[in-house]
Amino acid sequence: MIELGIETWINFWKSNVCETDWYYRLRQRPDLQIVFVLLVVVLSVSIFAPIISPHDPAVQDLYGKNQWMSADHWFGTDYLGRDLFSRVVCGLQTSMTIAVTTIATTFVIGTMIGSYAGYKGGWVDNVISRVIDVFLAFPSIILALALVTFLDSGILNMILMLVIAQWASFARLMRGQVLVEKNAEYILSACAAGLPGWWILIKHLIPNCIMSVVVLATLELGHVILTISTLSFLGLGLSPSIPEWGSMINAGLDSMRTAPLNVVVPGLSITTVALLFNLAGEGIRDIIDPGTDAEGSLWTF
Amino acid sequence: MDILEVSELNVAFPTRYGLVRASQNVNFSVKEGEICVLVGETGSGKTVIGQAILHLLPQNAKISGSILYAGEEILSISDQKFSRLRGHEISLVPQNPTDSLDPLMRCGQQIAEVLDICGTSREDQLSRTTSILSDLSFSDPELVAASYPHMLSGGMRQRLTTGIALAASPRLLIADEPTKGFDYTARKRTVDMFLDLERMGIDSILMITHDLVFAEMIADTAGVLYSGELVEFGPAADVFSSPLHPYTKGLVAALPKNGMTPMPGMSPGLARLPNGCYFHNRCATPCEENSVHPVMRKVCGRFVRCNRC
Amino acid sequence: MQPLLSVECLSKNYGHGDIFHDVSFTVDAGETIGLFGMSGSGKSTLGKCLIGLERVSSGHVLFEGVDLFTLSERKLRKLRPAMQMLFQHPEMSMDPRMRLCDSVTEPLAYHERRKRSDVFLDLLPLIAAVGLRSDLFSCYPNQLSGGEIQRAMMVKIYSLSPKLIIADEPTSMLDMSVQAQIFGLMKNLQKKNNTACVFISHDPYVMLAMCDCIGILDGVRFRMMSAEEFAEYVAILSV
Repeated sequence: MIELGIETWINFWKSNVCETDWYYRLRQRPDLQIVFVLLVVVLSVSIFAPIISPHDPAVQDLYGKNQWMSADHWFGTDYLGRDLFSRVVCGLQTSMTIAVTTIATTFVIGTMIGSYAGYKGGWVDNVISRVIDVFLAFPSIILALALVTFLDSGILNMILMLVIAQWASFARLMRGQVLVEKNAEYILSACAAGLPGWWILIKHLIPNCIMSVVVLATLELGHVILTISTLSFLGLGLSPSIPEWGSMINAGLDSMRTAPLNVVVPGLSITTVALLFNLAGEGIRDIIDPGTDAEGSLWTF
Repeated sequence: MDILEVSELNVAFPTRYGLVRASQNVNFSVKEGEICVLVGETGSGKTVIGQAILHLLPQNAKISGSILYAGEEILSISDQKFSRLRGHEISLVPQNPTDSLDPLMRCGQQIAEVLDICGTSREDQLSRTTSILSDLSFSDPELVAASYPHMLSGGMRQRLTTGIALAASPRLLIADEPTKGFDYTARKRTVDMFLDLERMGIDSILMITHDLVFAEMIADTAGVLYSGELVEFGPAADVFSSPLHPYTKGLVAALPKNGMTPMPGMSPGLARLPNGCYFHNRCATPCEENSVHPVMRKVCGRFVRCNRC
Repeated sequence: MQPLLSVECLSKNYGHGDIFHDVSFTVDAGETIGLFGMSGSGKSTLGKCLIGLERVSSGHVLFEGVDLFTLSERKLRKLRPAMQMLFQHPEMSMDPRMRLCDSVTEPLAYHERRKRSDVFLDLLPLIAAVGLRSDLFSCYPNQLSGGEIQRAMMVKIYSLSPKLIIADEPTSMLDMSVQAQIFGLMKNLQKKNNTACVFISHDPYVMLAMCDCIGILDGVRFRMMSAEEFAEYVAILSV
């Protein structure tokens, strides 16, 4: 039974995945394969953070503070003697939870508003576009700073803040894509067949416009992680008890001379993860876009 | 005297469906002072031939055969050496006139740019530009030279791209699909323009098109391509008035003015070519046995690739 | 007898000058009317106006006596299946992210609230009639040639049993031999279903081969000609 199951699965994989263009293009890009493997590693680390972290990230050990790397503490300990590796791993979980929730919410809101505006046109589009312009006129960090004064710190409020700061760029991209696609002949043909507007929007326009928004989402995921860290670094984000990379850097700044690991470890983590998501975003775009065949590969740098 | 001689040209691309042989054993020559037209439908490998001559094939193409330009091998020479021939000796009229003009540059400048690279002096550039434009039957060359591409119509833009190709006075002009997307009158004007070019010192033109009517109007010699092979090549008047290969016969009969008799079936596609004759299953007079792949043979003054002829 | 489509004094402008003005003609069932004009003469826009896909500046389009531009969106949508359009760019006229079988069965499945697989079975005779293999319909549009998509488009259009078809240069992007095949098919299907057709093209020989009478859009004014008159007009044109 099990063997049959595996065989069915392999056949399914062969007929539905191996035949697709994106699989073919992915096979020609070893650089992207590495990126995606690393991405999977990062995602699984964030999911299994409590299992992976060897120590409790909150347990302090004032006798063993600011230790260098050792077999027991892989990345050393911080200024309160907490295990840095465990804190980085748990910090990844915090960041990923916030970032993924934020991006998922923004994605849905932005796509809906943007596609509706683009499809309807006329005054509806005008009103929504102006609102989008207003939101885009503020740098997202300023907007977040302004909102912080109204809201308490906390994960939910952080997400809310980030969604408010981010949705407009998704909506604008979606609107632009819909405007281009809306005049295509297959849309006219669907309209001529007597299909209603909502049907055309959901069945034809959104599926054809969504891919570029998916790419934006991956790129923005890295951006959101950075923003969370920035806010925490400024002391406006999460409370210091929650392990988070930005607040770790902030707290470690005082002892940077004597214990550089306090800053370097979370700093490198932020850089790596943000870079990884950006590379993955561009990679997805290259793979789904038939126009780029093996050109623009990382190896050409 | 042959200005261009293509012999046994093979171009293939490795793809996920295996090796796609876009051009197979293509032989033809362009004589000095004549207009040679290669006619082919989508997927017949006609564009690849033009690209091979101009060294424009993608990196991954596998090429064999030889292309002689004025007796000199140009297929295997380096791109650097070939770039000396570009413009002066061989020039290209690109397919899409709208996309191949710089929208931010005045039309006159775009011709003068080529003259500049050829080392024409500033003073001469202006007069040369004007004379090229008036040779291309623009009624007001100064006005055209001073306007931007978007101010011109499609037909005018095409004459302008031809003007740019002519600026360095090449001996051989290659035109890729010069009538694509053109309406009836614009096509008529394009024919007049190309016929006029002989007067301007252009020796030979190689034209690649899918437009049979256009080819008939303009060609001295014509070649018909099917699935990467040349199936018929000879004097244009003979090829179009009394075609020998069944595919050419089918094409001519399918023209609107000849009653649009459709040919059955579709081209096999370069990735899945059948054994034997590629045209066998669409042929109106098929051979009983389709085991031998036909070779090019000389029949009444032209070359035909058919076992029956 | 009431004509199927009658167009009265149709005009359209985009703010700067007219696209076309004062266009009037009628189309009876089973008849083929040609609209001839050079590129930029507004013949495609006129085609879209005829089936209410685009608004006009003034004038009326009566389809079986009903003015399209006074109808509400909902009522117009009820009427739409009877008027179909064949487009110029085959690579754009099918949803690139849908398999052909889904695209082709979509309108009927929606209107009759049936399962797509059932609709597809009903369409099999039509698919055979346009000369396509049914297994081709599991492909995406970018895997097929222009001629194949245009045939599939005909399946989609005729599945709605339309009374009027607007064909907007359906073959100008196709090869000559494929063009002849497509026109042959169009003629056959038209005869079988007694469909009226408005045929838009810039090729005078195609016009002569396909149309009963021809309307000319050349910027001066719109006028209708019989096929014989048009043959003379073309002769003058090409001098």
